[in-house]
Amino acid sequence: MKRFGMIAWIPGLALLAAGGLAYLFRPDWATWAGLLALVGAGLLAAWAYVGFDAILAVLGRRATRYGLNVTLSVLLLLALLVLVELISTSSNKRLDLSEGKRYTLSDQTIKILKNLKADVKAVAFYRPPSPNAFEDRRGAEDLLRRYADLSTNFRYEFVDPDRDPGRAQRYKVSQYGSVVLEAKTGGGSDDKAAAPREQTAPTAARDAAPARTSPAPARTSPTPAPEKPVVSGATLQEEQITDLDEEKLTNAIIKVTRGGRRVMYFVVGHGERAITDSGKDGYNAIRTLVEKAKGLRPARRETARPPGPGSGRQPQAVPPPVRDQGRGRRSD
Amino acid sequence: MNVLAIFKREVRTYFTSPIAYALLTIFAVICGFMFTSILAQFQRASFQSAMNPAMAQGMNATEWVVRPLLRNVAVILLFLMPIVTMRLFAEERKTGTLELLFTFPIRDVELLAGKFLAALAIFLVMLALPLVNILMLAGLGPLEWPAIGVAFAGLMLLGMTFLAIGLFCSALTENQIVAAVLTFGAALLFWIIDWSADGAGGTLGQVLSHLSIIRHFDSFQRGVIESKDLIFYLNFTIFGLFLTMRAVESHRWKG
Repeated sequence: MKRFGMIAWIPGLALLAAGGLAYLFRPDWATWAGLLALVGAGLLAAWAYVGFDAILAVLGRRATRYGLNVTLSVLLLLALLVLVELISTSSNKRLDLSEGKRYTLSDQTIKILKNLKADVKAVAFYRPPSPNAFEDRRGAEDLLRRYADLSTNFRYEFVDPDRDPGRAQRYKVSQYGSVVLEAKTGGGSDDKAAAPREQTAPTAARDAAPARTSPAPARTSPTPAPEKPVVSGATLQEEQITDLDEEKLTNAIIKVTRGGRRVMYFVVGHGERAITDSGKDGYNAIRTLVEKAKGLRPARRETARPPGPGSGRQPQAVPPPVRDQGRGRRSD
Repeated sequence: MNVLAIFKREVRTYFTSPIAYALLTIFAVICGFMFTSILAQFQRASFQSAMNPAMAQGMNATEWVVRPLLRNVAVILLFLMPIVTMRLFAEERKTGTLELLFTFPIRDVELLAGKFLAALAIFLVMLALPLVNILMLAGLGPLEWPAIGVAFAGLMLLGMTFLAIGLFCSALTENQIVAAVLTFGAALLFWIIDWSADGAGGTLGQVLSHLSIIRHFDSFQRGVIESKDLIFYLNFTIFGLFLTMRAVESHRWKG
């Protein structure tokens, strides 16, 4: 029994390590991992009890004292370096010396990220780097990390679509290198987005728009003003992009955070064709198409917007006026 | 002063043996071969871009030639750095001169610093060889020198981590071959450690990914200095050298 007690530290340490590793890799096996660790700790305690005198004798040796000293100093330095690593990772500073600073995000993107109030998550569907994986995962990772460095509200995750086809299917991802952005906007207790209030008058919606939208990158098209749909809770906005680059990613962030559908205005009041008219000359069919289109909803506007700040943010259709058939001006 | 004496002694040993010459020759040949291959690819791409203006937008000798070349140099270093460091302590132990050194009024830290700086000097001479290729390229067109400087700084930091690993492995054994194999194995492990990051996921995945020594070179090779990468390399080197010092010290009290 005493002999077994003297070697009990071997299975004890092994079980303790196995328990720790099991918990690390499979947190769902916590109970079994805990049990293994407990048995391991019990064996170690038994070993310490049986061989207490022998342990004391070994600890008293000069080599053991030096050894413990070295181990302790190494662990202390390691802890210090880990601390330094944590600090340096969380407060990273960059200096881009490439020509034209091509690895630095544009000022517009930085502004958008600094003002990002909603939680945006990017799910990137890339295979692990390998000669067969043609998609540039490292480049995508670098870009997403630069975004995440600038805003705590931006998170990203890489998913191998081959290992997790269920998620790829859920997001309707059909090709490697796709990135899906999702953001919760609108009501809901966890909503942090500065979502706009719905405007009943079209002009009010237009006037409120610039305050709510952040400028798009220089290379992108003008950003539409957000308009929140009537919702009782939070709305999950999704946007999928392929061939990831800064321009697409920033535009996608704008789209998912604007919190609702864009409004497509049909100008009325000057004899234009009506969007409620389902006749041969009517625009009802177009209205139906707009209603079905993702992220768009139709609305009527009394007058065409004059050019100026904020114009061009919302799509605007001016149907040709009805001048023939003797029907005169028509207002819907 | 003691550091300088050790440094001179080590550098002299490198160049009085065939190690440095063989190392530099092999390194120069491989770098030259890679440079020629990459340059030929760039040339083909340049011809194609002449017919396709959209493709010409991204044509840049620094991006197309220098960056891939330095990335490949990093791979060659993985294989050659163990040869630079394998003898530093292992040979001293084998010939028994380490005990002799212990009797001199030299502190362990001075001994370590002298040997590290000597290996670093050899490494810097090695780094000058791809620089010759790049200088030849500079005669053909403009290059982004600040970005190239950053990439070389990154290579130097990467090489320092290899040196730290190598010195530690050399201090563990008296067999130079074993020291070289240990160094290569350890460096390779830290090179590919992020392969398992995806499988591990979560915090463990992030830690494994962070420990990859080549991943921190990515920003440098683009011409971007990131403080976290710089600090990682310095921390890695400091830790490796600290372990080496402890391993050397242990010879005193182990007897």
